[in-house]
Amino acid sequence: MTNSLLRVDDLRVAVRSRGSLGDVVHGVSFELAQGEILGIVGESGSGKSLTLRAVCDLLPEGVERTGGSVDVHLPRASTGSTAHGYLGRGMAMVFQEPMTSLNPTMRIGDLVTIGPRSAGTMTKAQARERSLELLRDVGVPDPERRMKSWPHELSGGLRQRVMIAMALATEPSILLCDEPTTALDVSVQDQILRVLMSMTSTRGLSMILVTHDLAVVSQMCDRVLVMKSGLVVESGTTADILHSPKQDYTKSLIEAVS
Amino acid sequence: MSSLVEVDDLTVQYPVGRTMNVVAVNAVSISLDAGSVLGLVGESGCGKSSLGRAIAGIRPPASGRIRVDGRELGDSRRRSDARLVQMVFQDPSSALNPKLTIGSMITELLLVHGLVPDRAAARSRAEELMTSVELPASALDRRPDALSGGQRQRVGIARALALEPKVLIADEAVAALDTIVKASIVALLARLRNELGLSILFISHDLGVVKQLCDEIAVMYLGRIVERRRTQDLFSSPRHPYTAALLAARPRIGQRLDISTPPALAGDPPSPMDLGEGCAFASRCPRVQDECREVSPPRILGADQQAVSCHFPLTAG
Amino acid sequence: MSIESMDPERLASDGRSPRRVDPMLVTGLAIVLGILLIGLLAPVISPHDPIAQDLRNRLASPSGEHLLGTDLLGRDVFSRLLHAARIDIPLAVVATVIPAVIGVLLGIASGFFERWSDSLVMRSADVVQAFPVYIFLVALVFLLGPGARSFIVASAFISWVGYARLVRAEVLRLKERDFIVAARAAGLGRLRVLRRHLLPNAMPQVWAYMASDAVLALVALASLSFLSLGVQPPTPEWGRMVADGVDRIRVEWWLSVAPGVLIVIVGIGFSLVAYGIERQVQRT
Repeated sequence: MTNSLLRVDDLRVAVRSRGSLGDVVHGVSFELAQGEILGIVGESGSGKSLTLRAVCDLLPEGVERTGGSVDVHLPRASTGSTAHGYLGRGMAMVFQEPMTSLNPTMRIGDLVTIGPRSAGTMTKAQARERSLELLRDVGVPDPERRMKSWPHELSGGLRQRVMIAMALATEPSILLCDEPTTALDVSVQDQILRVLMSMTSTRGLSMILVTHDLAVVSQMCDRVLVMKSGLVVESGTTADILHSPKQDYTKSLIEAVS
Repeated sequence: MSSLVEVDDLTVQYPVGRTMNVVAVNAVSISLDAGSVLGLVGESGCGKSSLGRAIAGIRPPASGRIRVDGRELGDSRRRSDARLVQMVFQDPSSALNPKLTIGSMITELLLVHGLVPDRAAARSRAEELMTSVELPASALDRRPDALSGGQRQRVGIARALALEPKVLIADEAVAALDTIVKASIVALLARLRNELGLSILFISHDLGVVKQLCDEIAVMYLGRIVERRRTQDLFSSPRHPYTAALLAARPRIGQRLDISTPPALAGDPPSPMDLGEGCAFASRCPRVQDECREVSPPRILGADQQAVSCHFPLTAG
Repeated sequence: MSIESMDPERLASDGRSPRRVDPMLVTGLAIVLGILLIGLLAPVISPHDPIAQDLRNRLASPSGEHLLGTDLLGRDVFSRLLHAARIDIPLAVVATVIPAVIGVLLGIASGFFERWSDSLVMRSADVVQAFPVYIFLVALVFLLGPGARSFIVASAFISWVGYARLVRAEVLRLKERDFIVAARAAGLGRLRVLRRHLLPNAMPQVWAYMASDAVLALVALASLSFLSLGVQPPTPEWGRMVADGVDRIRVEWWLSVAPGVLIVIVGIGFSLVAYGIERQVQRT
């Protein structure tokens, strides 16, 4: 309770179509403790992505939060504007599709620190140094040269590293990852998951990891929420969920990958 | 004894720009026995899809030969060739004509190939096909948008089976499906294989799925087959360093990620346009020696026992 | 419960809205077809003979006898308006359909068969498009002699380009889709794949384009007639009627305004049809 960074209570999200609202998330509650990696696992249509986006106020057009509360208690106050809610001010997001999430008209070096630079918290020289440092941290080989590359020149794995660097540039306390490795080959996924894990542990970050892959959850997460059709079906520690699942749905998910 | 599918020295290329070609499949020889399921695995860019499409006649190879059931399949396929090999595609939302009902799509195939004498017979056969893929007959009167992803994929399988092919090529047929649906489609394919004696070339990047369905597995890397083994053997004692890395990289239930150890496979694959002499995996191989960089390892041929293409394969244990 | 995970046998319920027709499409069709119908019935319902002149009763104001008065030659404006509908709307449609057919065929040849047919068609398109439309149109009609037939020919010559480009783009896009690849891999011939698989998926865009093209055709016809190059007198035609009434616009303003308004209304009708088709297609 005392060191929970995030408390979500009865979160509800609805999609607006043709004038009326249709619920897609029907009341989700959870907490995120300091230093914890929380997994939200579910199939397509379970509402896991929308839940994540509702937390940081990044819902797409036509989708709105219709109820519940999101309480954020960040350890350090972040300055600067720009943000969507807490994005850029304590929270940062890593998206699924590195192909489309990086602005193709900007060089890597500029992309990494775009957040702090537009918030006005860095000079150009500071930004350059910071970009270099972050690219090194996330394991981009030959970072000086890579600073000048364009997104399309990078492989999927490299782009995802850049995206992680971008997220870290805003010095978040919470990292929100929406299927960060789903579009990647398995060997690249392995690399990226390691980067995420090491970044969160060295920086003392907390993370919410949304994925459909139970095995990824098993590798990365301390606790898990299993979602289906907009509801949390089961939640608990990773070990509990995987070894002694209580709900049929959870059991069928585990069975399907074993 | 000859196999059902025999591919000899097949090369598939794609033009890049005006003058250059990238080699997607590099002089590959592979064979598939009747009634067996061969998994073809590898990561993006390894050429597995290109190989599958060349065999299915969708993309003509630059060179090499393809023989199915003794018959040579040329670059431009004859209609009757379609009765030998059929394909199931990856994306359920683009694999079916949105404007046609399932029924009219299937009956068209049956009638064009003369597999049934008239429309009534076509409808009846189509209903049988629906049953075999565990769909209700009423699906025939629907358009694809009325079906879920898994249902559409079943239709895709039914379509492929309508021509009673000897070989089914499944090109990432379950990749776009949810976990539980994935499992049900794999179960369906296993059942069909048993009931119809179907031979399947199962292309996938997902080792877990392949493990359940396939008798043998061939691993591809940058256009070449690097290892081919029986499934249990591949998983328990991989011989090619790439295979070992791939297996180690898979996230496993019950195992926490240990970041004190290095990743299973570091870096990125080299550009396929930039391949020199020597083993394609040399740039990333943990066991690489000088010889690897200079001399290409022996190729795995279609029907021989050479199961790994490596100068210094891992030994059992 | 997700249908997927439970039972592959259960198809999506028909709780989804039944195929409703887009209201804009309906409205647009109602306008165009309504006015066309009136035009077709004109010989029966029109109060006067549209070409009968009554020189003693020229430029009469609207009255019970002549709902919109009479024109410079004493002809009943209202009757002329009605009769013009059977000229303008069908001509606009024909002037749209013919280039559409030509353009679609050429677009298919270009996109499906590619190679030299592609280059030939696209370069021809470039040449035609390089000329400013109206000037080209006027020049062609001038060469061929004024009249409805020349208008059709000239339209065919100019307007096919849009369709060709559109269809070509659609065909190129659709060619690589798995269901087309699958159809070919299943041994279906190229022509059959083209006709039964490709074309039906490319056509929705074409219908929408046609409807908006019809507006342009209508206006082009009216404009040509305004310039005395289109439909020849004494046949009533809205554009021509506008031209005839221009000199009297200060006093008997309805002579030009009435036909003008009708051109606009029918134009809006066609536009609604076009917009409605696009929305309809998006929905399904």
